[in-house]
Amino acid sequence: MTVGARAQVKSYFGFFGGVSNALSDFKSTDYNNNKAGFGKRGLTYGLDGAYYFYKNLGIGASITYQDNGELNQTDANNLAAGYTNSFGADNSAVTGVNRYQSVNILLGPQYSFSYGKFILDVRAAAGIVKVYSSPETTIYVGGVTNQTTDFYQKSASATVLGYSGTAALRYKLSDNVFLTLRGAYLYSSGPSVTNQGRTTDIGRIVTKLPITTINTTLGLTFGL
Amino acid sequence: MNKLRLLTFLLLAAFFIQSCKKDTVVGTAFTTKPFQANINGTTWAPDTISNTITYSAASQSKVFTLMGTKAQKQIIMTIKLSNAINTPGFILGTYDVDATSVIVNYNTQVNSGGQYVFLPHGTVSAGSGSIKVTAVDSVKKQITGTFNFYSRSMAADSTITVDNILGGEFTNLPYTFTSN
Repeated sequence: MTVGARAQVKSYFGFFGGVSNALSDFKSTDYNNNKAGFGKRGLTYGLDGAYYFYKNLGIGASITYQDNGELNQTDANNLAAGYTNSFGADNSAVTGVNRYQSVNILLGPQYSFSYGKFILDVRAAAGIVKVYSSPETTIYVGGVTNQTTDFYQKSASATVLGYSGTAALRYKLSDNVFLTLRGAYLYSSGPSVTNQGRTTDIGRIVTKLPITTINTTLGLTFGL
Repeated sequence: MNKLRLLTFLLLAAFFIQSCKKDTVVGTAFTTKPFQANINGTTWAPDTISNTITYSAASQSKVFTLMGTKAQKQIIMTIKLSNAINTPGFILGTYDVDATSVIVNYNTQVNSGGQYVFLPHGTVSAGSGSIKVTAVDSVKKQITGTFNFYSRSMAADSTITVDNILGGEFTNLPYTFTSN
């Protein structure tokens, strides 16, 4: 058996599903970090394919849905404690709704290494990330004379640029069917966030939500 | 091929389960300030505090006075000890409001003749509360304790209002000691 580009690799398409893990600021739950996203581990699934135009060199594309969770009780309590301290409030309440849901469509060059029944695909891709929603918070601070009404960090919805690096290991089940283990790193500067109802700039103010994830998935691909 | 169908089914089932999950979560937090109370069900932590222990050699008395003000509300608590000694500490114990040597005022800010002043909002009568001093560090000059009381007021139409000040606490609250 040999490693390398002896023959044209078959183009393919397939589907996958697995786990999306939040990383970096997106994963952070630090009240004092205005980029902290409180992102969680969630489900991801999608479609993937590649067209080989020269031996092992091709162009790959994917469309991926990913869910990165919502605020949990601990997050909400920590945020409430943070706002209480920042505002010097007597008490605070943070109500969280909505969750991170997005779809990314990415395209980029791919190179594949063949080794027996295995094929290793590596791809760099760029494209768009459509963010459908992010956690929305309603904040009440008690006993604060210059912020007497609730204020809001609204759910974000936007289409932004995204960049990805992917490595996939395909195992040949039959002539045209592969079991595929896939790891995909995604970075996006993320959507802008609207804040409403503030009468002061005290405390945590989120204006941008950078998204960083690594998705680990398992799927099937079918040679064309 | 059956394994492939099973895998596909499991993936699809997971997708639908996940897409249905949307929760609302509410987090709350209360101040951790060293001087706070619950006034009529709402946490109140003063941002302006005066805390003193004063010894008078002439009358051989010692007076602990704690005053907090915030958001148009003010609490003033005074405990007067007779036959006291000239030290920066204070005797631990539970001091029931008697309106004589243990006096508590619950004041609110009102417009009086064009000026905003704090005036008593009702009366904290004898037997309507207590102050408990649980720890005093006379070296660091910090005092710790709890309090609760109610203030009763009557409007012109004879309507009675009771303001409940419950769960009050002062924790390692710095004080100044004066001897004169």
